[in-house]
Amino acid sequence: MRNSKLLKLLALIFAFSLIAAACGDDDDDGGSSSSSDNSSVSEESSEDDASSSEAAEEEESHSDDDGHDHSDEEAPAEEEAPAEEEAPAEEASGDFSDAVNGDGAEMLEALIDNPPGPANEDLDPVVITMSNIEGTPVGSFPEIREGAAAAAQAFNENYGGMNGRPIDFQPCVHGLDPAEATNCANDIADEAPTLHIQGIDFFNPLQWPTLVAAGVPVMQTVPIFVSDFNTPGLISTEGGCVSAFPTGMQYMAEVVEADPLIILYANSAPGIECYNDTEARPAQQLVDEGKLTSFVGVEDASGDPTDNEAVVQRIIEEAAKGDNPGVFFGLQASDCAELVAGMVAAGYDGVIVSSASCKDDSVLSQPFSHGMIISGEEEIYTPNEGIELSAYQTKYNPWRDANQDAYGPDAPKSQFMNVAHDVMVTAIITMMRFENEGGDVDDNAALIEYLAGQDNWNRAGRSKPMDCTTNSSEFVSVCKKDAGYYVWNGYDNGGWSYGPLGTEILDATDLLLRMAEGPNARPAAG
Amino acid sequence: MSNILETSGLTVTFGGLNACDKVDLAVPEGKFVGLIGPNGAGKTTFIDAITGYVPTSAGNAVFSGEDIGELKPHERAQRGLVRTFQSLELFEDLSVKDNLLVAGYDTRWYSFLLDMIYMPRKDKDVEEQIEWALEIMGLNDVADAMPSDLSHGRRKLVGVARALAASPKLILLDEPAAGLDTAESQILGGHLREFLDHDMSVFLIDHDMGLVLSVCDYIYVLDFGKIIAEGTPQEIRESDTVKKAYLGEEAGEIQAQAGERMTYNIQGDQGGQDD
Amino acid sequence: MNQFLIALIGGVGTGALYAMLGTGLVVAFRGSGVINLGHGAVAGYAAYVFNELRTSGDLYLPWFDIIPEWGFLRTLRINNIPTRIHVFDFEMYIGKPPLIPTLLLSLAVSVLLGLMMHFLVFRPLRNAPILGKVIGSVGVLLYLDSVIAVNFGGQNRSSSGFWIFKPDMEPVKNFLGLGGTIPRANFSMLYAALVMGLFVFCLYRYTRFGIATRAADENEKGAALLGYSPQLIAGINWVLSSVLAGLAGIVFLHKTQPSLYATLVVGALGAALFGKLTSIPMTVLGGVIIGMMSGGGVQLANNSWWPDWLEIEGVRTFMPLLVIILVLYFQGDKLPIRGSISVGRQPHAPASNNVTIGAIFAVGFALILSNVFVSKWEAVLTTSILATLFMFSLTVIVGYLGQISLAQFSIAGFAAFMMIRFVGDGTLQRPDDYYVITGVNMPTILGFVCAIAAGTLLGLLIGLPALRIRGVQLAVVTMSSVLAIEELLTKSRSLMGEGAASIQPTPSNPSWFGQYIGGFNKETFRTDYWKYSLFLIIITALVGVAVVNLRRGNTGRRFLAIRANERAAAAAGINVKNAKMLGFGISSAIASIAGIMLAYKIPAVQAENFAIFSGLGLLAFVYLGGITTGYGAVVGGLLVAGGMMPEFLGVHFGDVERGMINAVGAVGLILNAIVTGGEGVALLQSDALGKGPLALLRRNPDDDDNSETDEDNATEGASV
Repeated sequence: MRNSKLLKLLALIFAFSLIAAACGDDDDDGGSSSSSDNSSVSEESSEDDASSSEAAEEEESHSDDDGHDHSDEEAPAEEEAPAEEEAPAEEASGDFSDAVNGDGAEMLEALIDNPPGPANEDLDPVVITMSNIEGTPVGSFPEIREGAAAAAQAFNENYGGMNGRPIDFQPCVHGLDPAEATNCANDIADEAPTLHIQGIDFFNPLQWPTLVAAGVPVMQTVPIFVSDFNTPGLISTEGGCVSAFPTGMQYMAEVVEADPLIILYANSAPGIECYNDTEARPAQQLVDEGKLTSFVGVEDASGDPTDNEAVVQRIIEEAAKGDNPGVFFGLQASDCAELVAGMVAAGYDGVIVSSASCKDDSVLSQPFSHGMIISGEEEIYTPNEGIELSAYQTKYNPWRDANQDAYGPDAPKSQFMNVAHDVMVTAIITMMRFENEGGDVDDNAALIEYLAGQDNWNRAGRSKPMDCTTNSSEFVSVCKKDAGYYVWNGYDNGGWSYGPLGTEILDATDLLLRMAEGPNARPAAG
Repeated sequence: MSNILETSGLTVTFGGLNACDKVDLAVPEGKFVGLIGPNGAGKTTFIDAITGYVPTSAGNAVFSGEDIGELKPHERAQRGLVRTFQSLELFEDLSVKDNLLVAGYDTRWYSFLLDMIYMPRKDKDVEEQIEWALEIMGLNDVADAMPSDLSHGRRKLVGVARALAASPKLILLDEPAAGLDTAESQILGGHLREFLDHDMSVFLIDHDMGLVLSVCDYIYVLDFGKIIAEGTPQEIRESDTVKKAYLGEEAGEIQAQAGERMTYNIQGDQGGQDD
Repeated sequence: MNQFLIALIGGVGTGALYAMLGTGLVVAFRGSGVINLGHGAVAGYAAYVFNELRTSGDLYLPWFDIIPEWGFLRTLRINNIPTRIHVFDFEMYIGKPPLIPTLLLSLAVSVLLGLMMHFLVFRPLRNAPILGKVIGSVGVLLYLDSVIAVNFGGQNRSSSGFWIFKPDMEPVKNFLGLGGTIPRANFSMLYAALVMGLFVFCLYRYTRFGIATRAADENEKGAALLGYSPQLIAGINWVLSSVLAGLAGIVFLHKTQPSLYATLVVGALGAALFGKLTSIPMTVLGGVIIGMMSGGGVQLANNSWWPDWLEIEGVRTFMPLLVIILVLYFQGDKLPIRGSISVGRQPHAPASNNVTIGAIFAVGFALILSNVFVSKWEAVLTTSILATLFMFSLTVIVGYLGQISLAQFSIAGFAAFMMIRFVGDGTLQRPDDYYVITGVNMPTILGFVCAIAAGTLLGLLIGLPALRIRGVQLAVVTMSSVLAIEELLTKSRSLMGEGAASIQPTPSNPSWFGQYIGGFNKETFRTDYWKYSLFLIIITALVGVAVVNLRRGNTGRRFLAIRANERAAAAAGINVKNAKMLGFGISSAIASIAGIMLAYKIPAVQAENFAIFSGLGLLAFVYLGGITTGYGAVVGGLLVAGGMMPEFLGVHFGDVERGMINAVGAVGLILNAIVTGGEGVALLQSDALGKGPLALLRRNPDDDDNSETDEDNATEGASV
């Protein structure tokens, strides 16, 4: 008897203190709070696939990391042949050069070298919103929010905000609930920000109708769905599936000359979409052009081990049908590890290429991973043989680190955090350039046009510029269309090394353009 | 006069043991029949068998001229064969009146639709029966109370009232008097025979000899699953078999006399020895 | 054929996981009579801890620091609860923490979890009715999920397991002459499962503790009378169960993500039921069989003769369900219901007498709000009302009828998808949509009705097992069927259209009687179209009134009678089977309406929107509000994610880790089960309003329990 009364009292006190604590907090719009709303397995896999479709960067910047596995990270950065960086840029007096690294690089360097001081609080703030998923075990990315916040804070404190105007960063965080996602979209549209940065969100398709119709300029961190790739008004400096997979198909066709090409994809929502749209179609295009003999797609239950044996069997079966089988993975790490191990054990001796999702330690530490070719970006490869960092990276990375440290994030540092930080920096620098050229950043339509018209764009953190004007009509939003491929030799064998491509990176821009014009164009109804 | 209930050769076997062993029993229409026997004799099993809660291994039961062997418990209940439970089994989440309403009304397939628009079917006969049941069991003042608010004795009366509310043709009372205090037993005992006036027959199980002897028209005696004796109360009192097997010579008389004091309708009878 | 056999045998790996988790489930059940739906999450937490120790050397305790950073607390130095302990120091890639100590530490955390579950959740609930205990385990599941999210984030983990379980060992070649290869790790896991099973089996058979557990399992009262404390037995079994779960999780670490363990519990449930919740050997056998069938089934789907419309994934998730159903069908009535010493009463389900007034008031209030709100707040309002609409279906099936169906939300999803299919006309709905749905091209209203019919049929199908099983077992079956529904039906591209497995676009122009009633406002592009809100309010009000009226009528009384006592209900002439089917039908129809209304509101739906955790979350909230009354559903709707209450508070919660909010919700759920027994906020409130706030404290759900005295009195004159 007494117990339950006590409990009742405790419950009341608990509830009151919670509310009291809540009112004690002030914050920018934290967005909706969710309670116990969790999603199923597939949600995780969709996130993983999104990442796995990306050439994800696993390596931290030089500090030995906290040991978190980051196999699912996104951030297809531009593959930069470090050798190119050695050649000094002609005009730049520092390490950054607009000609080599893209427009905005020099402006950034000028700021880094001579910080102008804090932003001017009297000026109208530049509102930058974000929508991001956090707080569920199958999808939680506070590091995205924190990376962007770190960048915004750095600029507000040291670099004069955006041309003096302070940056008002307003993230809308939500759980795995479509209602919450649409709430965020409505909120943001009401806010009418100068720019919206989309975090990692499984509900992008629910939000675009509102945001795009409201004319909000959107920069993405990690595009996941086809509607992320192909909606005017959205711009992405990450490639997602669009950079990882078509280049992968190209690699398998042109470098490996796979016969047949076996494509492994996850059965989650983005996995299926990405397979159909960014793997099957380019592969078919390459077949039509005579560059690839044949290909087959094999579906795998993302994260579920039950079907792994069956999938391995299928792979072996398909591989036997050709002379030079090549397997391409776009799966999350646990599946990757299981399947690669299973294949190799079953006697598969063909080429294995993977997007960056297989860069997880669980894969890399195993002997079966030796000889795998994995998509990579500009990053610090530890350990490695002869892969060098560009001058740009050498200067940029520590600066980014310092910004994040100054912010003091709760989440461990990761590639996701870097991506978000870099996108924010790029956004601010680009806005500054726009203003300096006479543009009005508060004019949404003009800003969208400016972003889409970048043809030599420096995405902060990347040495190689990107060109948005060459986007195909099917992927108008994705400016990054290339990726590089390295060989993993094992921890004891020197680690990473250049592969058959050497320092060259693969650019799928042309393939995408050809694909959009031919019979392999996206079906009209879609 | 026909029998409302008739069993022949009814046998219930549990793991090799016959809980009921070739029981032949009949309840004439409009009569009050009792079944007695010591603990473990098989009385509740018998009720469980005829109401369908326990499968019979042999023999059959005929109710209202129909062989009910294949019928489910609710089907038997719908045909008018209604029982009470020794362990009460009241609907704790419903008020007393609701308990009766549930038993009283049957439903058609469209009833739920009517309920949703709050135009439920109201049946005068059922309402009257329920009112009578509440009245006769003295529950009018607690009709809206929850069963858990009542004393144990009154809860037993609710159980009986609930069975009455179903307008049974034959009501099976399983140890209705157990656990009642004096006032409650008087209510029960005094009204039992009134049931017969409401178009029903009564079958009473109890191990309280006195009650059974005083209210029944005919009595069966069960021991180790077998009927060892049957007859009018008088015959049972005098039966040597019964006395030996069940009562013991002296104890039976004491019980019988106690029963006399309990009920109103009994004719005084010379008993056996004094205690 | 060979390949099929290879895949079949290879399935022992997953089967071993099911067996191990199932063993832990049975241990918990024998000790305390609870089927812990959160068992998978317990396994997952230990696996995460193990992995984290091996990668960063930090030990995360299963809670957060909720003490706010207030000044005076800080000065008193009580502003922090330890949550993270740095245990090991090591350089990444250069040596890792030693295996055995790490394992022991992880298992120590498991022990801690077991103790927490026993003392904080299941011991207080020992006298609660079945629903209370189920809710308790749901609370455990949701809480652990939240803690995992906060402590470990959504990152993948799949390394640092034990060497014999790693995938890179030399595989077994040509097993039994079948050719091919089977990963050796699968066999290692099988051995581990067998060892675990053997250990527990011997524990129960040959030790005093084991015998005491079995005694208490059969007859708690008897065991207590003999001097064994049932609570002590329960506690030890909880700890044991937790440790077994931890071991299973760690063993399986290489195979998959720990966050998936919570869903893998379905296979474990199948294994446990196969063992009739009693026999460890049969549980192990059952788990292995289910794993093998799943693996083999997927291989079969590789063949060319496999029909396209039968999704591979559906087969895989259907296997455990199939086993569960078969077991329950043939053995259902022989499954043990562990009798506790006393069982508390079910939550009150009072009939409301102010239906019309209440409805008018509610509708009026909603209309006023709808008028005042715009944009996001309008969307928030419709979210809450939509949740309330769905929750009415739970009021009927769980509140009135007492059938714990966890599948209602997936029925809602199925109906939504069916509606999309029915009205699909082969045109692109929005310029940015990727998929086009070709369908029957029905007009909106007809599609609405047909989808409800489809959902109701599915609901009746789900309800069939309820005819033979009840209580927690029904919860298990319905929980398992959620996955099967999702994979076999909702995600079926041949049944639902191309976008089914991915993103299914909803019709962009649903019109009733010529009026556009979608949620998307075509002028402002917000999700706040007033006609949708009005339509939703009307439908919800009608359904609500119908549900409340049901209670007042004989149907409601019959449902409650069945909930209270099926045996007596039959004796009262109630056809229990028909009534249950009716309940499932009504509930599924309401759920279907809710699903369809959701599809009218948002531009796209995914099968994952209706997954198990979302459904459990909704059950949790309506339980908090009060599962037995329509008013409770209204309160519950206010509390859901994206609904009125959290959005209102959300403005202040920006800094707080979202996972913490979920965890608080889970704790609230458990507290509610303990304190109010399911009557929830709604009835507490009416009590308080009726008798004054102090009455709240005097109230006690254990008070009105007379069942014991009935039993005692009945035994006085006991006859066979």
